[in-house]
Amino acid sequence: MILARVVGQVVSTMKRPQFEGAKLLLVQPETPSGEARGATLMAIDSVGAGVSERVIVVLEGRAAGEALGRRLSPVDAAIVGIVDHVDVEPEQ
Amino acid sequence: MLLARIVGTVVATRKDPRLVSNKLLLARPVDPRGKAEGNYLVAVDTVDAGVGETVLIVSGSSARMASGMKDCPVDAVVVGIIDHVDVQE
Amino acid sequence: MQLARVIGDVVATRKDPSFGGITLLLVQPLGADGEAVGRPLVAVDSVGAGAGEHVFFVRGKEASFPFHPVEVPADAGIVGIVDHWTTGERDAVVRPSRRAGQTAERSVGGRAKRRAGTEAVRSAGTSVPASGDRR
Repeated sequence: MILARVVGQVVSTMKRPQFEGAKLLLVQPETPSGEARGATLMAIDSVGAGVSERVIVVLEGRAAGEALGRRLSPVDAAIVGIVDHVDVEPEQ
Repeated sequence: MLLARIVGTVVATRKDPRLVSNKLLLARPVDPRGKAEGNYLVAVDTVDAGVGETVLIVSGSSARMASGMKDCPVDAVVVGIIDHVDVQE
Repeated sequence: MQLARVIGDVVATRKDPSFGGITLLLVQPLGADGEAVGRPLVAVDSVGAGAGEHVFFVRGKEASFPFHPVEVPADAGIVGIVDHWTTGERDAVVRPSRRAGQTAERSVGGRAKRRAGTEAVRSAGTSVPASGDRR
């Protein structure tokens, strides 16, 4: 799982039926200190996250499918938590 | 999936028994216009591709879904020979 | 999953038999601002997408799920056509829909008809984000 920030939302009418009713969010992966890292991804939201919130994203198909609750869902990323805070030990 | 050009073959006598009698090809990814880019990779051939041909390579766990690759320890398989690519940019 | 734009078609006569009848499209992954990110790749299509359209695609084995029970050896698959997307705070639409007529000339072949209603997709690449709306 990775830390990411929700940066947007995607609207799609024509999509695989497993996505029906699912919220599709754009997430920017981040380092623990909050710097953007890597390309923006899309993830389905199962916890009610919103733009600018910091979230936990699972990057694995089966787990993401579980979040959607539908068998054989063609998904590879899902938001599974909203981050309250991250405590990082200072590097030695 | 990647577009790649076959640049050679790889021969390995000692290999995982599930790879026996599979042809291993050395491929280099190409961009849609055919320009080589990135690192070479070794892929199992399932479509009888040859050196110089542009092919389609599937990677990751999906590679094992290619014909004859079930349960094989592979992460890159040649699954198509490209006739042409129409780029519309 | 990632946003992408369909930039072309890939034709292969000799291929894994489970690809039979499945369209292979060339997609360019995009960032939230609509700029190209990384290299183009080939994806299987299960939603009837066409060149010029904005889509989202899934990576990995899940790309083959729309074709279940056929095990298609695909590691990338288009699973939705994007109408528009927003960035920044809620309701800050930076990819506004436009009327079909403005962009219809970019539709390809006979596909335009059955994709009626998704024309807005094609405008996405040309709209300019309002700077104040972006994070």
